[in-house]
Amino acid sequence: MNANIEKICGASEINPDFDAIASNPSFVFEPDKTYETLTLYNSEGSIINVNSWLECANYVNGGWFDNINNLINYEKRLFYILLFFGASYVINELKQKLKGQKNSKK
Amino acid sequence: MLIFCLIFPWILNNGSTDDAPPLDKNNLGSYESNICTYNFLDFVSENFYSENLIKPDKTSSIECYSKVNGIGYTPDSISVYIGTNINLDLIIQSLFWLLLFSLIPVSNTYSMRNVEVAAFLGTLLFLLHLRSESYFYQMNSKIFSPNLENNYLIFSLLITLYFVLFTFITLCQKRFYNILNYLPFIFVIVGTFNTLNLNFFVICFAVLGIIRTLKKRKLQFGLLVLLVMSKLWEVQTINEIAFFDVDKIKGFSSSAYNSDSILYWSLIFFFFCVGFIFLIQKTIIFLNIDLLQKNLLISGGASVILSIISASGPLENFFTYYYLGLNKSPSRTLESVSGNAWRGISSSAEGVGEFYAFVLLIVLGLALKNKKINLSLPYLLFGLLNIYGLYRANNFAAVSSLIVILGCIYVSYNIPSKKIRFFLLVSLSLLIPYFYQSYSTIPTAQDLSRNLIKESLKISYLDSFDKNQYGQTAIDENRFLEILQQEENEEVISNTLNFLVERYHYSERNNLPNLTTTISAVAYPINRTKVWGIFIGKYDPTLSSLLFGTGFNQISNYYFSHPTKVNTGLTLPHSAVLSYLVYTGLFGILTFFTFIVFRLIRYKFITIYVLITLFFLMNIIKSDSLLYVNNFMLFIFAINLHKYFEKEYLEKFKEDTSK
Repeated sequence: MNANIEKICGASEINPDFDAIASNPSFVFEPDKTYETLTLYNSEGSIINVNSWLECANYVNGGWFDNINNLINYEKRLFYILLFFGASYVINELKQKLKGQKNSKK
Repeated sequence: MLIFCLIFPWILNNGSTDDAPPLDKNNLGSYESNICTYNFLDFVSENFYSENLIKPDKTSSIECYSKVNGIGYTPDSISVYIGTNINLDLIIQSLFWLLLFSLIPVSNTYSMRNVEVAAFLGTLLFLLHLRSESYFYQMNSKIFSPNLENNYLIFSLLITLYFVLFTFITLCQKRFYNILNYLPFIFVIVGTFNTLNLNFFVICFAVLGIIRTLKKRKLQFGLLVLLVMSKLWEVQTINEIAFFDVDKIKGFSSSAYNSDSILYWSLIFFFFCVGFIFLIQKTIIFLNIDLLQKNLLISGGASVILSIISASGPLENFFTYYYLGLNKSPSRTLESVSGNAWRGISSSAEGVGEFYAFVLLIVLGLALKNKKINLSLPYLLFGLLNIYGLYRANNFAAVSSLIVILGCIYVSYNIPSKKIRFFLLVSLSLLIPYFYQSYSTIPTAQDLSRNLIKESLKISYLDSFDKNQYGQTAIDENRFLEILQQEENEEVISNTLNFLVERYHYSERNNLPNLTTTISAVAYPINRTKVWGIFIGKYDPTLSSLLFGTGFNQISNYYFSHPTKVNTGLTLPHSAVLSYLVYTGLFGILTFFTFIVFRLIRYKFITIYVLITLFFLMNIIKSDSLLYVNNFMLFIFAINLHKYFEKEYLEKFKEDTSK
C-alpha cells in the first residue's frame, strides 16, 4: 500500500480496492464520525476535505497531499533564484564602481 | 533572445512521461483525468491541425506552467486550458517586451538620477496595487494572499518588477531621443500582462514620472493636489466593490473600488502622464517625421497582418494574445461582429479604427501640406493595409472626420487666397449637415429627446405600468414626468435621468431649448442615442462625484452603484468624455476642455496641429478609445505635437524673412 497513505491518513485495517472505487461512478464515501476531517491539496492548488479514512486513502493514492508548503515551494525557490541574480547584479555593479573609483584616483 | 523567449517557456515543464494523445470528443476523459501531465509542446505536436481553442489557465501553479490543465467542452467546440502563472508571466512577458524595446536604435544618452529610488517607489506602488485588488489576483492565482507573512509569491513579484523597471529606465536613457519615433508600435505590442491588471508601458512610464517628480517642485505640488483629490474620492467610497470584471479595458482600469485602489490608480495615472509628457516635451523637437510616418504605416500594416494570422488558428491566436500583451483574445475569425466591425488583435474596433485613420491622416495630411509624398512602394503597400484595416473596423466617425480634416488641410495649404480658403472651409462645414439632412431621416427635436429618455427608462427597474385602451403605457405616451413623480420610482431612476426629464418637460412647456434636446441632437447623428441613454440611466452621482468624479480609472462605482438592467457584461459609456466625467467630474472635464481651447487658440497659426487636435476631439466624443492605453498615449502625443510643428513653423518663418 502507498506509504504516504499511512503517513497522511493514519493507520487502518481496511484494505481498499481503489480500482473498484474508480470504476464505479456512483460510489459514495460514507463520512466517518470518528475520523477527524483532513484537508488535502493537489498540485493544482485545489482543496478538499475528507471525512473518512477510505476517502483520504483514495485521494492520497491519486496524488493529493496534506502539506500546503509542498504547493508553494516553487514560489520560494523562484524567490531565492531572483534574489541570487539580483544580489549578483548589485555586487557586480558595486565592483565596477569601486574599480572605476580606484582607476580615477590613480 | 526573442526566439528563446518564444520557445523556452513552453518547454520548461517538459517532464511528462506520457505522450499527449490527439484530443477529440471521444477521449476527453484522458485529458480530464491527467491534469498537469501533458506538456503544451506535446499537445501541439499531436494536435497541430485541430480546431480546438487554446486558452490560458491563469490560476496555474509554477509546476503546471505550460501544461494542459483543463478541458472545456461545449457541443460546438473544445477548449484546452494551458497553464500560465502570475510569476512566470511577469518574467517572460516583461523580458520579451524589454527585448523588443531594446531594438529601438540608441541615440544620445539622457542621464537620469534617482533611478534606483524611483524603481523602488514604483515597486512599492505595485505592492499597493496587489493589496488593493486582491480579489482580482485571487482569481488569477490560487495561492494569492495580500498578507505579506512568508508570502514568497508577492516577494518574487516585487523583485521581478524592480528589475524590470530598473532595466527599462536603463534602456530608456540610451534611446531617449528615439523612443517617440517608435511610438506607433504600441498598437502592435499593447503590453498588458496576462495575469496582472497592469500594462507594461503604464508602469514603466510611471517610473519615469516618479524620477521627474522627485526633481521638479511644480510636479511635487501637483502630486500634493492629487493626493488631496484622492482623499476626496476616498471619502466618497460608501460601498466598496471587491471585484469588477475589467475585461477588454484590463491594464488601465481598476478592478476594485476601495480607498487603496483609488490611491493607487490616482498615483499611477499621475506618474504615467508626467513620465510620458516629460518624454514628449524633451524629445518632440528631435522627432523624425519621416521615420514616424513609416513606423505608423508599418505598425498599422503589422496590426492587420497579425490580426489575420491570429484568426487563422487557435495556436496563432493564443501566441498573439500572450506575446503582444493584448487585453483580450484576438478575433478568432475574419468575420465582423454583428455583421459590423472586425477588431482583429485590438480590444476595440473603434479604437483601432481611430488609429488607422490617424495613420492615414498623418501620411496624407503631410503629403497635402508639403505637396509631395516621400514614401517608397513598400510603405504605400502598408498604406493599403491601413485602409483595409480602417474599412474592416467600420468606424464611421473616424472615416468621416478623416475626410473632413484632409479636406480642410488641402484647402488650408493649397489655396493661396485667404478669402477663397475661408469660403471653402465655411462651405465644407455647412455641406456636412446639409447632406446629412438631405439623405437621412431625422426625427423632430421632440422625438430626439423622447428617444434618449426612453432608452434610459428601458434599462431602469420600473414597475409595470397600467395601459390605456390602445395598450400604451405612460412611457409610450411620453408622460415622463408622471413616471418620476411616482414614489415607488424615486429610487430606481438615476439622478441624471431625473434631471434630464425635468429639463425636457419644463422647457417643452415653455418652448425653450434644453439640455436634453441638445444631447439628443448630438447623439442621434453619431448613432449614440441608445448607449448614451444607457449611460444616463446608470449614472447616478452624488453632488460631490458629479463635480469631482470618483477617481482616475474607477468605472466600477458608476457601473454598480445604481441598479439597472444593464449591470452584467461590460457596457461602457461609448464616449471618452462621459468616461472622464465619471472619473474626474465636471471640474475635470471643464478643466480639460479649457486647456484644449487655450492651446488651440495659442497655436492657431499651426493649422495642421489644430486640425489633428480637432480630429481627436471629434472622435473622443463618441468612442471609449481613451480607456485603452495605446489610444490614450496616441492622444497625449497628438495634443503635444504643437512643439514639433512650432519648430517647423519658426524655421520656415526664418527662411522666408531671410529671403
